[in-house]
Amino acid sequence: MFNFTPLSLNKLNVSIMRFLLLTIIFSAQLMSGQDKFTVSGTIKDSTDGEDLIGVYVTVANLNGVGAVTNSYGFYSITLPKDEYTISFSYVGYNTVDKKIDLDKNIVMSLELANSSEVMKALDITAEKEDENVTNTNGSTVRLKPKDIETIPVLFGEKDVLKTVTLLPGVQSAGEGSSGFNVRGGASDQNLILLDEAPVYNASHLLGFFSVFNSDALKDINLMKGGIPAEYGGRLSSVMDIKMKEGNSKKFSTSGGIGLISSRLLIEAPIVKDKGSFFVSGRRTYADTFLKLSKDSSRRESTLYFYDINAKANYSFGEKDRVFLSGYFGQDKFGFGESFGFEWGNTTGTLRWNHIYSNKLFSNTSIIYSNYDYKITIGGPGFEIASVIKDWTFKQDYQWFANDKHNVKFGFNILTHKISPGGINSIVPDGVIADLNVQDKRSVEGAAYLLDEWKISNRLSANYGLRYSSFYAIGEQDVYSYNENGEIEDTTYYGKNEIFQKYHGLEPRIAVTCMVDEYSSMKASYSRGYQYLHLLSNSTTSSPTDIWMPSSNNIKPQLSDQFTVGYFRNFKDNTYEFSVESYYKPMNNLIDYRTGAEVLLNEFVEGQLAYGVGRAYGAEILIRKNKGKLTGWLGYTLARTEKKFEDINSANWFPARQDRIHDISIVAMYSFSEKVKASASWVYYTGNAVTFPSGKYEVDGIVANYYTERNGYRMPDYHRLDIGVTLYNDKFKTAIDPETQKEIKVKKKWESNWNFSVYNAYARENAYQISFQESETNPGQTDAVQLALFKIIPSIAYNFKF
Amino acid sequence: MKALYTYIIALWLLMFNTSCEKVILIDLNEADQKIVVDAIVSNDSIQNYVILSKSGGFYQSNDFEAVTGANVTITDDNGASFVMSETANGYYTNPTLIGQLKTTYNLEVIAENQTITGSTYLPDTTHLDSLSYFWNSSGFGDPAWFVLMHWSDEGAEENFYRFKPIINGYKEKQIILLDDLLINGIETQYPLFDVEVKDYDVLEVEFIEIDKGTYKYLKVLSEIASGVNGTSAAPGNPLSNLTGNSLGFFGGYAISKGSIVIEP
Repeated sequence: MFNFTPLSLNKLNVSIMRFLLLTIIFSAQLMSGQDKFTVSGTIKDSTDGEDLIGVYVTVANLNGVGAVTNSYGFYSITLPKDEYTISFSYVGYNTVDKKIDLDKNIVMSLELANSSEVMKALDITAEKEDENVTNTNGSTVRLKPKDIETIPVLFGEKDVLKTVTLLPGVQSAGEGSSGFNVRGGASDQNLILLDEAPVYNASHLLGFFSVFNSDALKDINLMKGGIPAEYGGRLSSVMDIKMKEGNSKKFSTSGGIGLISSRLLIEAPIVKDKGSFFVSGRRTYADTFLKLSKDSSRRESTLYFYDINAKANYSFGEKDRVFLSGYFGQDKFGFGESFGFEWGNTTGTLRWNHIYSNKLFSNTSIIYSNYDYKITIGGPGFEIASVIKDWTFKQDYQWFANDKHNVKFGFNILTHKISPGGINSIVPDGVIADLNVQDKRSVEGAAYLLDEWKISNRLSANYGLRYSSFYAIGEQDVYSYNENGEIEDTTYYGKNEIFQKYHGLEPRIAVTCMVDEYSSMKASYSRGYQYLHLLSNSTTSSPTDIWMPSSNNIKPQLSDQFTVGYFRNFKDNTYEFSVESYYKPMNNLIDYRTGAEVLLNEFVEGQLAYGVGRAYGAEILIRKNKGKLTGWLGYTLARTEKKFEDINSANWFPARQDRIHDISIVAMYSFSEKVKASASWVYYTGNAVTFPSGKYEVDGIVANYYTERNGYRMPDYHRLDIGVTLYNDKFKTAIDPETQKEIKVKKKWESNWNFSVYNAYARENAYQISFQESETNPGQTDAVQLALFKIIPSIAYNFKF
Repeated sequence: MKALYTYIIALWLLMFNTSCEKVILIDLNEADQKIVVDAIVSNDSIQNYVILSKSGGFYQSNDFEAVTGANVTITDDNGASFVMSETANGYYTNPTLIGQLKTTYNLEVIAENQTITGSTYLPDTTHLDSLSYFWNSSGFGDPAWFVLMHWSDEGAEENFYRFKPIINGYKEKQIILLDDLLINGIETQYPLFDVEVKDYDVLEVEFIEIDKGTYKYLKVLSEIASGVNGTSAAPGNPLSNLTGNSLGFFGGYAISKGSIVIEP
């Protein structure tokens, strides 16, 4: 099965894969001593026809036997011939019980109804009330956009990336950045997938917003550790974001009008219950206010972004379904004719689901991802442009082997073409000599096999193996450097000629052991390789940050992560408690040599330094899921350190994202069905930074004298945000035409007003600290702190009909 | 690029008007004092000197302690040797030393039981041809005079430049540097960015060609100079072309000059 790849996989690894697969098949066969039949199907939402991901399908009286619907709402359970009651449960939906007489294979597809048409208490809960305790992987969080609806955010723009950073183990990379750090990893170590397509730059407007428009999203799954073998390519986390499918029942519109942006989404069936589509758009218009400005330079400025999400799906019969989805977003920043700066992502995914049998589900994807930026300077007439282009072919199988084993396997091939940038005159006789850094091409191939195994009622495991490989290919000149970063040798490689290979095995295992009905212990180990690296030379995430593939100079980054945790629920799953700790050594980390020139540098690889890192910490989460008051308290105690031969005298130093304490408290209170309030408070230790420990004069200039890397801390950060959401009446009174009684009928038009205040107590959090000559006392030096925000109120109106 | 980025941040701040700046007190360690060497050899007779001083604590005033009584010698690769004598506290010079182009110079400083050495090269490939100016009202920034420097870059080798504008006899402090990455081998007219000139100003420009070591040192120096908004992720001390436990550098300047009067 794994022979199909154009890249020659290492024979040994293929045979390991085969062995694992055979073992599972064999053990599955052993257990099938009697006649067995399969019940399978697809679960959808009854109001809009959206596939429901993660519905628990359980069998009454058979504790621990069941299945969970996959990303496409598909489930399959195989049981001995008998009569059963199958129950379908999903948080927020009415549980459905079905009696079946299993004497043949049965296809049972259902639609579940929202348990209450009124807004539910807000919860970032798992699908089953005790999933926190019972699921195999502790380090996973699943969010639905609805869950974050009332959490207050900057300018009222609800944002999944910002909300994720309120969870323990996930840190915001700081104000003005959509970047986030997971368990001490760098922000380029997060694999962000939008309908399987990698997103290279997840931020809009310098990171104040993420590229993900919540309206278009259905499900966000963040994996911080124990990452299943189906994912790979980044060391620290996987954020798997799925767009919704679009309403397959009826035409529907929703949207919102906010202070700085507006959103609109349209969804409708293509053919009722067979296919649907949606198109969603968003644009900021804050810059239109600039036109009103008296200042001419402000009037000519442009600063906005827009993005479009679209998706269509269609079922061809019972067994085949095709999805086409895409994202297009662009930031534009400009100044009259003289200056323009734009950047954006484009992704596209074409998928084909096929049900080979009631036990074997397949998905085939062709994925495109593009990120580019362009800077245009009008006066002297030149532009700088850079592009990253990825094509992926991906084949995944899910085999519902029996009630103990759920097996996933597959492979993918990814091609990268990175054009790091060039500068070109756009006028004749320009003052600038054209300069183009050569394109870098590479291919990644991976194959994986994993098994979700219910060993016993108390013990379950998710174990697997991923084999990944990387090929750097021409055509290009390949340089090698001496220890001073000077070129030693140049070799030309022709088109598609491989000049560097890397490959490795990535074992993954996560085990859960139930201590009693309410508590469990979990442990995991995972290894990962990362073949693409982000070079960033500023503290803020910048659209011009450069992605670099591994090469003869840059080795793949490697990490191992060990986790162990204790999970316990209290008071009928009203309260969840968990504590989890991790240790993560990392190899081949990349940093700059002092004074490195990054932009448009053909020889940037000579300016890099390589080292090791280690991250360890503990995360505590206490969450309340039920009642009028819901929310959570998260605390992370962690360290992240790095060590480089050429930096800090080869001593360990704290990574920039080393944050010792990180606390977040999120509380949501439902006063009534119409009024909800929320508040969130965050506190964290300031980032590690390098400050001067002295100064000196040279060339008539007073220069800072640095002694240790990241030896200082930014001031502690804390902030309170509050919000109130007012909903209109969702029901109106009508007379039932049959019974002539008064009944409540759901209104067609639903809407809410959202008021929020960001940074409610106007804390001046340091965005940047610079050291400059004192204005009041020349000859003295002052530390000057810049804070981006004081208090920011905002208002938004959202509707749906 | 950093300037561009700062500009975008600045525009953001302008738009939303939400930011605020304030002076804060940060508790900084006091590093051990180090000897600072500020040494220049150039083809301009009045720009050949070695200044020795010591680093100081961050919150001290900018009067740095001079290093006196040092033995300072500069030699060139043709065998000439110049003993630098202390003419003022910490200021060492020799009137017979005038830098020759296409020559390597070596510095030796012996001070406070320490020996510091280094070498630099005076290149001779390009020279400033002329200066010109125009009124820029394209809208990118406020309307202002824009000064262009004209010269031909040498295509066959890497060239590094430093520009020192002198306005009405007053030498601007900032470090303006350029490598030939974007102008390699072309006859260029390069704008003197960040230099504000007014009507009737007399602008002189010292067009200095430097070697790679000097360029790399000055580049990092310009980024960490006090007063520069440090957006660098991990600022560090510049890589010096000196050996020994010291700060500073030994620069070789091949200077050509031009001047112009701004007539509206």
